[in-house]
Amino acid sequence: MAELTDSATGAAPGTTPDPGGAGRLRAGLSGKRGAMLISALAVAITIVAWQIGSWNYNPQLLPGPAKVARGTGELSNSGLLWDSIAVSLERVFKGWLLGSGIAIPLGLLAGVSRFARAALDPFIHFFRFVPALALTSLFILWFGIGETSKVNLVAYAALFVVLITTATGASSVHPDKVNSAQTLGAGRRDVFLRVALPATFPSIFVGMRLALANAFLVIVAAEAIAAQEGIGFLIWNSRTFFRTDFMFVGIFCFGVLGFVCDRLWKLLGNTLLRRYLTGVGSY
Amino acid sequence: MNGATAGSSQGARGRSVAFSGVELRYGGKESPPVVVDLSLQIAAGEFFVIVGPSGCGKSTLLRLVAGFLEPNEGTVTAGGVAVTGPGPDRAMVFQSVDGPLMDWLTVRQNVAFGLKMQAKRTGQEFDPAVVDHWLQLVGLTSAAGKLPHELSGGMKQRVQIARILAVKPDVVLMDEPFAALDAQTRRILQRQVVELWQTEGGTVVYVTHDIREAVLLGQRIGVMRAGPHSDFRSLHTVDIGYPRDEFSPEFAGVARAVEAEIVEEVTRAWQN
Ligand SMILES: Nc1ncnc2c1ncn2[C@@H]1O[C@H](COP(=O)(O)OP(=O)(O)OP(=O)(O)O)[C@@H](O)[C@H]1O
Ligand SMILES: [Mg+2]
Repeated sequence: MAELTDSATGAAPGTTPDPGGAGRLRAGLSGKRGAMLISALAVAITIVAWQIGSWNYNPQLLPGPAKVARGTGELSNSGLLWDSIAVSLERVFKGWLLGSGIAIPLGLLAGVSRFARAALDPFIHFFRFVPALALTSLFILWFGIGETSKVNLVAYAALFVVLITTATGASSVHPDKVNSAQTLGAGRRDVFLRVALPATFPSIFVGMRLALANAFLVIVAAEAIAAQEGIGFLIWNSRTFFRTDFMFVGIFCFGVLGFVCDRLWKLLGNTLLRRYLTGVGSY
Repeated sequence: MNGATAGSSQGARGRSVAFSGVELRYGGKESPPVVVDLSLQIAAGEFFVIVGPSGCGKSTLLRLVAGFLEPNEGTVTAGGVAVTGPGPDRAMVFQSVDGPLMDWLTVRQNVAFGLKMQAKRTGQEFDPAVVDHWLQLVGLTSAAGKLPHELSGGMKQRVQIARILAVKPDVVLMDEPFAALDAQTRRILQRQVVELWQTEGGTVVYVTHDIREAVLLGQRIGVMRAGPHSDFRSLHTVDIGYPRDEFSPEFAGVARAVEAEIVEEVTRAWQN
């Protein structure tokens, strides 16, 4: 068999023809590593611009990256940073899991049973528009100023996203899937557990991912009132001492933690849950 | 000649299917019925093919036999017993390629699904060797560990066929199972379906809009009228032995007769 060659360059397959300097740069930036390089570059430029910009302002209003880094060191050495992160993360996770734990069974029920759906619908579509922030004071009255009110607030914020995505997913399982399972001898229980439930995993997965962002959103509000620790508390409290750099540290914590949690959740989806999520996009 | 008896010679399995005076409407009383006063007897072990213009109610008839639908009037019976809901004695190969498979189960697990349900029902041990046997019959042994989204359309339809036939249903319902496939794959699978029916027995009710396929497969072909208010216009017996030679004059004769009727019905459907 004749060796196949690239008709344009005459190069053998597998060898990349040298496109010259500019071409090589473009080729280098087009891959996954290239995308990471661009991201890193964009971040670096922003930090430099921020540093230069901060020289023109009162550092109490806009601390530069160097000052924020020193603030981070200060908070880290005193242990306050790590304690705050641990406390806030615990609240976020507890609330997120609690909310999802309530939402998933209810959503499945609403998705597969008309009766349950009719019963739940008015409540879902009412509370969906009541922001968690509107309930902060009420929750403190009801659940006290301790952990319970904060966890419940996060749970509330997570609940409706997961509920609606789960219900939507469960009600849109391909009818042929259910029918084919029945035709293969699956009873109601097996149809639910072996077909409806796994077919709804992608929706649950996406719903919980969105809810995680909600949970971070709400924890700041929860920690603004009647909290003695946590990243949200750190931010609010820093105002009292005019430690704008500490505020920036808190803000970065949320951004970084949120990002890391989101990536970990995605990683879970790409590994353990992979086979259930073949239809979920990769963004 | 043995064509007309090939299935019934395996008569051990298979159940008769009968429609009598069946009327079905999807909506309320105001919506026109899809089929009206439809009656048909399909013998145990028979390979029966349904053809007809699009929208005449072919899939509807299969759904009635499968028990996914209930007739508004009349009765549908399988083996003389009224159909009241879906059951593993009447299994369906769906037209949809992506819908019916469990996306999160491997090919092997998909084929095992019905067998596991069966084992649960009968209290017998699930036998993985049966899965291997069927994977081999449909040529999917090397794809056993793959998930459905990693398969081609033809492979997915073979998974459907394997998992349905593995539970040895008395009645196999096939709704244009190969319509979405390329001509070569379709040809291979058509041949395979006939072979499996001959060796495994069972009653097959097969819907297609492809006249060549109908004559290639069916012992009898039922031509439906354009809907709504559809029923069977005529029944053709195809008295040609398997495997059939589609270039033989007998084959062409039957195909021509069926074709002429369908053209008439399609024309009528367009005028309605
Ligand atoms: N779920 C449904 N709700 C309302 N009407 C339906 C439904 N399913 C089918 N119909 C109607 O019933 C009639 C028969 O449909 P059916 O799917 O049985 O046709 P078909 O003969 O299988 O057509 P095709 O060859 O296109 O698959 C059509 O007019 C269709 O519009
Ligand atoms: Mg159809």
